[in-house]
Amino acid sequence: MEDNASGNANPLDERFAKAAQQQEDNLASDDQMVEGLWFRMEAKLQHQDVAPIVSATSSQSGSATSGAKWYQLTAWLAAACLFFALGFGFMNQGGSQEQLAGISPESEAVESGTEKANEKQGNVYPQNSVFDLQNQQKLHNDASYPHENVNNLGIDALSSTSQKGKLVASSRTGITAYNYPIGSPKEKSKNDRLTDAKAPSLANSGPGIRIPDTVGLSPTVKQVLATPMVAHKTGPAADEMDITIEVRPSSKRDRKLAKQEPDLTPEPEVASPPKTSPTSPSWFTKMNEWRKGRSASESAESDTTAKPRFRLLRQ
Amino acid sequence: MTAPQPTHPLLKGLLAGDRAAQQALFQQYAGKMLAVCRRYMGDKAAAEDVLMDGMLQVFSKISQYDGSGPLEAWIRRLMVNQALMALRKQQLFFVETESLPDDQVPSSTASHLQADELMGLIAKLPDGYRTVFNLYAIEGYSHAEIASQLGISEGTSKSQLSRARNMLQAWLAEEERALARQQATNY
Repeated sequence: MEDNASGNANPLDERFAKAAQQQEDNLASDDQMVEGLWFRMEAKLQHQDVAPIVSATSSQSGSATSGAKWYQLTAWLAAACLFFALGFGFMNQGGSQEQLAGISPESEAVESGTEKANEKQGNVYPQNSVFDLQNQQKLHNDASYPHENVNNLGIDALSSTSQKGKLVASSRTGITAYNYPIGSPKEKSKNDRLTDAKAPSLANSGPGIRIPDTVGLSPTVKQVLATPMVAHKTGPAADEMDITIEVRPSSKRDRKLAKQEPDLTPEPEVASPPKTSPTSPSWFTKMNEWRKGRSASESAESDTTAKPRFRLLRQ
Repeated sequence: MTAPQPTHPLLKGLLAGDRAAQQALFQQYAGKMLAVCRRYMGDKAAAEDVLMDGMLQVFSKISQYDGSGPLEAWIRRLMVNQALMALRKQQLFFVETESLPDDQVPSSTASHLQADELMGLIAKLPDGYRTVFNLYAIEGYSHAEIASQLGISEGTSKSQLSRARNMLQAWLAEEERALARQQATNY
């Protein structure tokens, strides 16, 4: 068989070669098909611009290389966003699970290393968003019961070393105080002045407790607290203030009952039975006397009306 | 003697990665190269895939074109290589057959068949026969080049070519007989 380099003389091969050439020409003239193929090709080229499989050589590497950089940057950003999103998701999930399990996040945080470090520095609560949220809830609770939580009027929630000595205020309770550790001399002196000057209404003498308007109590509760009670300030500072409540009778009947003296006279003592031996003759005589005396006293009691010995006063 | 400088008008834009130049080159050669791919693959869809990959190779390796030959021949060579790679992925299998002497190859051809019908006969050939026939009869490669490119021996290349020719000749003869019967019935 002849080698192709020396010329192809086979008529069959020539025939097919001519047919192949003719087919190439036919397809080359099909503009519509070529246009459709170009759309596919363009899409593939755009895809190749962002996927750097094209070898970067000499001056042709411009668009492909920049496309690859954009692709890498976008991929890194997407990965970072996904990482943070998953991280926050796990954090939220963990918090909700703790709450569902009945574990106090505050107690959990106290056990954590961060909280221990804060405790060493004198901080009670760490300064993060979770505890800020809890402190807001605590402020709300304190505002609901101001007479019970005078010490906690939003001051401890802000007592950190970073803010120590600063003037802090709670917008809900209307209480303003210096942020020193509770009980320290500085805190007492500063807050004494502050209490006297700016927040006298809570420790005011006179009938009833004056509730600041900023305290979150309903008008009914404020009226009840203000009308029959008298608050006494026993300590100079707000954190030492102890409120004693004296109940005064409100109606005429109660006042009349309260004016009557209670009958506190003790019941006359009844002689006890003779303690001697029943075999002795004197025992019988003593026993008879005792029985007579007892029956006499019982008859005397039966003559009196059902008057109570002690009158229970309404306290 | 200095190497010839590439002189194709689109070459500058292609080297710069210009999309308009790429589109112009594609519109100029895509039809011809699709015909090449169809001859080797025997399937339109597979041929289009090979064309896309081959054109990507052209755009990415355009800087390797040294201008020693026509740009079309360089693109055709890339396309043929791409088609052979695709066939290799499809487990191209060559059956060792004895080569037939030239005198046993019938030389009669059915002259009435159109180009597309002849190409359809090539597409019906087995992969090995078709590949060697395309490389030898249409592309003009020698048996040594085919053997080197496909990783087979020259004898295998020759035998594949002989079998391909016989098969094509038999199909053409059958077409001749069918045409003669049709003409006889018309008269």
